[in-house]
Amino acid sequence: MKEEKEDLLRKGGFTMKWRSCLLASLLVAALALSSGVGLSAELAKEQVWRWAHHTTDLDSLDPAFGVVDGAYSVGSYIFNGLVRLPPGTLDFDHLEGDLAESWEISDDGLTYTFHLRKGVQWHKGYGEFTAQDVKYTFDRLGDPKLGSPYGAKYEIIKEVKVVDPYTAQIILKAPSTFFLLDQVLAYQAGNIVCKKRGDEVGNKNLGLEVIGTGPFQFEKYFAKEKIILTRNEKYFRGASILERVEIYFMPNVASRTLAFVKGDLDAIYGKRDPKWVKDVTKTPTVIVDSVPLGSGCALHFNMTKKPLDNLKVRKALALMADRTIFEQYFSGIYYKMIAPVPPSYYAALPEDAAPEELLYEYDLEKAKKLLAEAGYAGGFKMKAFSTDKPYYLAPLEICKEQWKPLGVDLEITVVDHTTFHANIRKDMNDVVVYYAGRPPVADSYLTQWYHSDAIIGKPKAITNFSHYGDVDADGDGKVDNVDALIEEARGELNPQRQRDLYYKAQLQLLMHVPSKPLHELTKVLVRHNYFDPGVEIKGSMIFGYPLEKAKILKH
Amino acid sequence: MLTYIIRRVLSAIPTILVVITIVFFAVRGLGGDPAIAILGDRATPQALEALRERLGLNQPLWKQYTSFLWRLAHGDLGRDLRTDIPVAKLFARAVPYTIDLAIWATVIGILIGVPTGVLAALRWNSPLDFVGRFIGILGFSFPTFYLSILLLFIFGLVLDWFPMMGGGGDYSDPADRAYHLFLPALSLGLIKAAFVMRLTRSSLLNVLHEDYVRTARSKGLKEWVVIYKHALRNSLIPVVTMIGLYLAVTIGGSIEVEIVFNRPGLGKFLIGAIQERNYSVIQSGLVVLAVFIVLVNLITDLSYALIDPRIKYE
Repeated sequence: MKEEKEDLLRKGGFTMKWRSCLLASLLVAALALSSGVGLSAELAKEQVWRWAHHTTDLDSLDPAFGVVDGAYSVGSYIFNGLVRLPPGTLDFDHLEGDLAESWEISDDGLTYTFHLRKGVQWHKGYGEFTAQDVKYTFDRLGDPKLGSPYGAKYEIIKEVKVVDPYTAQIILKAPSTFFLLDQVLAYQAGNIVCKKRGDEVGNKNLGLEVIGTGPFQFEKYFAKEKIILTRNEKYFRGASILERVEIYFMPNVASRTLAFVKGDLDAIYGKRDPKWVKDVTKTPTVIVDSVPLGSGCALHFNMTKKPLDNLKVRKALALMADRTIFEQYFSGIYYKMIAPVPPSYYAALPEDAAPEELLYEYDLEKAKKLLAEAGYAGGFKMKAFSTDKPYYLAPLEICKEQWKPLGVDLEITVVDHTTFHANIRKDMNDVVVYYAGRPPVADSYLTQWYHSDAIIGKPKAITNFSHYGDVDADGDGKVDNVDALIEEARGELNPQRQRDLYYKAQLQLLMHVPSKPLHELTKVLVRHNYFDPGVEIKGSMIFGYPLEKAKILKH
Repeated sequence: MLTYIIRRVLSAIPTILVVITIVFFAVRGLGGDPAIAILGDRATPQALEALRERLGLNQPLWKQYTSFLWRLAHGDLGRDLRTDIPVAKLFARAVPYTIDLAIWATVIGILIGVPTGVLAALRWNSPLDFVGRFIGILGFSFPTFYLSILLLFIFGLVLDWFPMMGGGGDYSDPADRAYHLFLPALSLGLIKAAFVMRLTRSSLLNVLHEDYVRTARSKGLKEWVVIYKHALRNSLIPVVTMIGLYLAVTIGGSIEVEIVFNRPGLGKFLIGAIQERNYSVIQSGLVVLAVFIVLVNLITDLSYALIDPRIKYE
């Protein structure tokens, strides 16, 4: 068994190629050369924070449009939402007011009243933040003419009322207990934009020169190179210690690492590669914050294609996708994901709440038996397009090897990331490996991957690649879905009952196997020890550090 | 001469038109959907459709093609599909970074390649020649990407002589710009030097056995006069031609160098644009490159007259 696993790790495309070898050697040598930074509790004279993203550039800093990792992460330094998570955490039970000082929810769960902070100033003299800005932000998101990629999830809003300049009321079409976490949180489209600025630009993408209320304001943008933000002296929580933030776009991990090791960068987004993480942590002065909220990964079976329409076949494939191999391969950046909702998300099914047979741990004999019962004892062929990103390709290659003993032959065609996204939305894959980070609640994952409205090809399609909700998943002649459970849970105001509903939906999905949940990979934030984020980093919604209390120490 | 230049420029127009046409259709044949690349994986089909409509991606191909040509004829390179910034504005900053890189890499290639090529030819089959040839083959076979990383490691990190990233400021601070340019230019220049060295060596070896060189020697001219005035100048025409043609390869190599050194040049724009299916940036970028290469070819042709006075342009 051990030899088999080692063989799998080698065969699955994981033999380190000479390219990786060279980069790894350079990294080790570079880290050996870095002498270790002596640290003082005093502040450094220059309070400039330099960070490098893994993305090639930004798309838009408009919260309604920024979709690349770098964009909404930079946006989090410029904007505020009405509510936020305590910085450095994913503590969903302790939301704190951001632009709202407090809020109330009506008994029927339909009306949210936000009492806003007074005296909050927009950057660059755009005046005081008021309830008009809140109304503008959410009305705009729901406007189909704007065409925001986040628009669909704001359809739940019936109306936004300005009660007075410091009180805003949001009325929903139906109760949603995740409304605060999913739609209002200071994250992506939940950030509040300036009406005055919006009126100047018109009903379109606000672009990069945005006006926010956050601790840093837009200063200058250099396409494909960097963006510079400067301290907002009038920030309502008090001006930050950092005077300037320089964010570089460096997709090449080798150059990003070398610049970091030299000290030209104070922190970088690392590489989702255990070897890289291991090498970097060899230097005691380098701190790796490998934290949730990461990206959940599941193997989605296209149930409209034979023989994946057969539950026994899917179960057999699920049994052979051995999580222990993934755990070894992604060691250090891995969380086991046993249910359709990733483990760091609110209302994810705990492992001890799932019956053992629904965990689908490796079992060759059982898998062979199931396949024989389904009439595929000799195996079958499948096709899948994969992106060239290593952490996407690896799970498919591992599964390809693991399915071989069943006689299942998976043909993988590697294409670039954009083509992959287009192809999987044309239903061209038998199996889809998909990674995604979403608002940290069960609802976002279940709605986007398992609700029947989200099935590929439908008017409101998102990422339901399995077609669960449109097919008979268990072979009893009836179409199966979890739509009602998701919707009921969304409107359930009692937290325990709500959790139970989400657990029930996840258990049903585990029984019907539209997918095999594999793992959640962490975010890999890396910093020198002289950069102090000012809070303990236990989790992160963004690709970056919280900066409100951050400082550069003398070194 | 002026007539020749005008004729060459006019004759380049069909070439550029062909390039534009190929690029336009090839880009659309890549697969992938710009709307998904722009709006991400959460966008609903309605949002994607609305964006395609706004960007004109729903129009028939011939209509997109003719409107692209029409805009181009009016000097409009379009707008970046992602950021909505005019492509011309983006390129106004990016193109000089790439041109600086290509020119200085070529200069470094010539400064290293020509003298070493001459030395290798003059010491034909000597240990010096063997070493030169070995270095030449090594340079040829060494990928630009790795050479860049190695130089960055040695001169940027270990020796701390040069910066690790960025392109430097604008031309108001030429020293800073040159400081940021040196390592990237060296990365490309060393590869180019290997090519120039081998070409100079073989070209000079051919010329050294010509009758007119033997005649020059028999006239009692000094050896350096024979080499410089009679042999080298005659051997340089193929070298100059190939350096010009190789500039296109240099531009290709600049993409990798720009990514490694985080230089915001045209190469970095193009690679990002291809990943994002940012049609307007890809099309305009390749048109700019095509024009640049046509110009380089013209300059190469004109330089023949400087090397060999017998060449006249009519």
